[in-house]
Amino acid sequence: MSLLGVGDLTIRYGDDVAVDGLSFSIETGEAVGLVGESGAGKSQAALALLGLLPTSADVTGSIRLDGAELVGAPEATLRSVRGRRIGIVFQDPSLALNPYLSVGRQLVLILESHGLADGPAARERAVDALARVGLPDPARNFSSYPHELSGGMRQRVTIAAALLGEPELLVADEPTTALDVTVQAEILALLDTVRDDMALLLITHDLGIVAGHCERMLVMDSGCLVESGPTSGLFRAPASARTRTMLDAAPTLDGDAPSAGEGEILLSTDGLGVSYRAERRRLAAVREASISLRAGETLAIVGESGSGKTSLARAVLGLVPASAGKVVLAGTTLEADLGRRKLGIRRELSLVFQDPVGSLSPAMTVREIVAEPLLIHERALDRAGRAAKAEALLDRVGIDASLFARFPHELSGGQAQRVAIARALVLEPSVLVCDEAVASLDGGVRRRILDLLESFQASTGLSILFIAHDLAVVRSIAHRVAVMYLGRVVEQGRTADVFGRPAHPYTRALLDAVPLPDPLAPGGVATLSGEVPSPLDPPAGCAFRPRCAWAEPGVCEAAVPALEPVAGEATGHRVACVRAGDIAAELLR
Amino acid sequence: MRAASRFAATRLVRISAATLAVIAFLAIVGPFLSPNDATTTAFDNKLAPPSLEGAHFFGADELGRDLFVRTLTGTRTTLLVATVASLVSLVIGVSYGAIAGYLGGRVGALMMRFVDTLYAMPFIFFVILLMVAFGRSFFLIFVAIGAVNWLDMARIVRGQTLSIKERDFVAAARLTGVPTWRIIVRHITPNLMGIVLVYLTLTIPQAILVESFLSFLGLGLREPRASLGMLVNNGVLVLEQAPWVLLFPSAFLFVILLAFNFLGDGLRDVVDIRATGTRR
Repeated sequence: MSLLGVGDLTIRYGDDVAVDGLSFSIETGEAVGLVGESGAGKSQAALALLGLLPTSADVTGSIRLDGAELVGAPEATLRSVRGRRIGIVFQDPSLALNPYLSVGRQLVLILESHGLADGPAARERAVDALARVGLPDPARNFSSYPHELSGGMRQRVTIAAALLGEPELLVADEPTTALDVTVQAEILALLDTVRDDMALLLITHDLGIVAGHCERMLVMDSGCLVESGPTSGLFRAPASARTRTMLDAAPTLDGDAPSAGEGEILLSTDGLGVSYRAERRRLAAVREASISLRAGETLAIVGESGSGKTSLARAVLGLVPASAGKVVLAGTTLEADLGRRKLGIRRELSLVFQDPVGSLSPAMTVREIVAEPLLIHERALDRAGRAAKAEALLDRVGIDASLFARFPHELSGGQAQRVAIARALVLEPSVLVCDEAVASLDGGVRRRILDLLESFQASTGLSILFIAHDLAVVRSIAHRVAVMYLGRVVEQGRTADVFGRPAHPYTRALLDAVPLPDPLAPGGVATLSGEVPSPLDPPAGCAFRPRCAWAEPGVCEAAVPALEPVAGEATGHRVACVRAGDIAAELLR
Repeated sequence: MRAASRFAATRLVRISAATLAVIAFLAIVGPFLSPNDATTTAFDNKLAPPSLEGAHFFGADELGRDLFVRTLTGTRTTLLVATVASLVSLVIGVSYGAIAGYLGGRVGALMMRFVDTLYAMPFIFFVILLMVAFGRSFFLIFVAIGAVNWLDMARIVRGQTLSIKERDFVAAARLTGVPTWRIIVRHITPNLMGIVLVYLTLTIPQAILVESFLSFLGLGLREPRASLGMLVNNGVLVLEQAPWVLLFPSAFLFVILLAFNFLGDGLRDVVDIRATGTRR
């Protein structure tokens, strides 16, 4: 008998069917991936396993754990199953933890409520659990509050909580989606090591994660199971069209990167600094950043959260004033303060945001949103003229005329992002800044938005400053790349050079951490340890030094390494690492 | 709009709105249909119980005035006071709060300190001061209630504006060079309307209570004008001899307050749904 058997599970909300006739089973100790795009019903299915669906959900079918039926079981039974026999790890660890209780206390409460331990014994077990998931200094961090821990550490705590009852099945619902790629690799590696003979149901939209961590996978689409089987087989020969399109849309690090030309430099920053006031001190988010974007090209700025990439983009746009250095557009130095930039300059730079719906004014229709910039900048146009121009552009970005009078909350994420792109391009700017513009979109939609940007670039010579944390996306769209760590650019150059011959140890670690949709070479290896230091007091010298395997005492902390040409390369590939030459030599050997 | 239709669909809200409409209609038209008027005294009719004879449906008060007509004219006054005072608080409060919130910084802080100063003034002294300076008048009641209510509204609107102005669509508008006034009018204010509407439906009962309270203290309207607050006050004095003198005005007041509160609750549900973006 299977550990978990789900038969013909159907979840309805009124007339909407969220999950339709789902059947699958999980054997003891098996790791199964459940994949699908958002809205496919995978999270609904997971919540059903735990009996956590809202009361408005109508659940039919069967869920058997070791033969015992869970659908329609009394709350007391479910409570003894949750946490005790089925553990769960949610997507956002900051929402899964109670902000008013210390993390240790939360673990103790779980132990007490399941009657597993209490008093000093419970405390001891909680500390052990924290140590087991690799939380540094568990005895002291026992009394830390969730906000005092980083996102990765919080997710470790929720995993510790899920493991407390030693469940037979661990359900992880997008456990790393809210985390940076290096942290993601660590968390997934942790899940692999701690679970021993525990079965794992890993829910994700990322085929790369499934490829590296699951023996078997299930593919869901609009509530139905479309395919299931061993991971390697499914990747090699997908039977359903749905799986095939998902595999095609999955980002990889293969293929040709766009080849960089030698166009004019259109936009550049020179020693740009951005600082904020935090805790009565100055927090330098960006330090001495110099980047240059060539006409008609895409420059990607990559880095993990806290690297300063968004602050850099916002300073270029004038949304936050730069505290040092300057921004030069086509030979003109721009004012740091947006309010002092002339209208003629403002129309040359525009922005596409990460959250598509949130970047559109909720009380305006699609047509009004796209026409508004024209009202400010094209005074000669009358109302009809503005509407006509807006509609022509909306048509070009693929928005159907039936949506012109809709409000943003009536659009899907992909549609809203198309509208946002139309608004950004309606004034025909020379530079488009995309701040994580595809990060919140699913595979297929993401691919189509990237194609749209590329087609605009090809036809209008648009230059794009592309801020992203997803290296696979960057690899497919950017001509050049700048890698940032803790506010500084540590490596830059042509995409093919930086991805093909990474010179900075941090770039290497980032590339190693990317999960790839290939069961034979899944990537996703965690090679970095430790946490990103606080930008309030960065380490002296090279900021990456404390996490770097190649750091040499006495050399790396002496001075901040300058961005210098990589030895033997004449294509503008530069790196800020004093040991870059030694590392390259050693790796060659 | 979808939100509007959902709102209409909520049964409680529909019932409340219908009740208020009926009461408002009665208050406006009712007195003209009755053969009696609100000020004629008839001592032979003192504290008469409700009867169909002479169309004294609600009976008569201690001066023999017809209570049916007095209750309806009182309702009219009360609704008028509440509506006008709330509109004053709406216009001043929303524009003041939105401007203070959006400008922020020193100007915004200064504007809010002014609000704090007004808050610190004891309301009753303020009203007495007004009465002494300008004499008792209908108009002063509006001023007094409006002057107090807009402070709350301004604070709520400012808080909301502070969070809205950090949203991406405001940044997008700033980037394109949309002028400040247009950002406030076109991008911020429409997004305040949900919370403002809710707060307004809660302000109206508050204004009604304040007016009743002022009238109860003898600082409100002067006889022979009537408001529901005054009628309730009179009713309390003759409660033992003629309970209906208290019953009818209080019932009207009660139903009006309840209906506005339900309306506010219903509106809040609609706003919450829009705020979380759930469409189901």
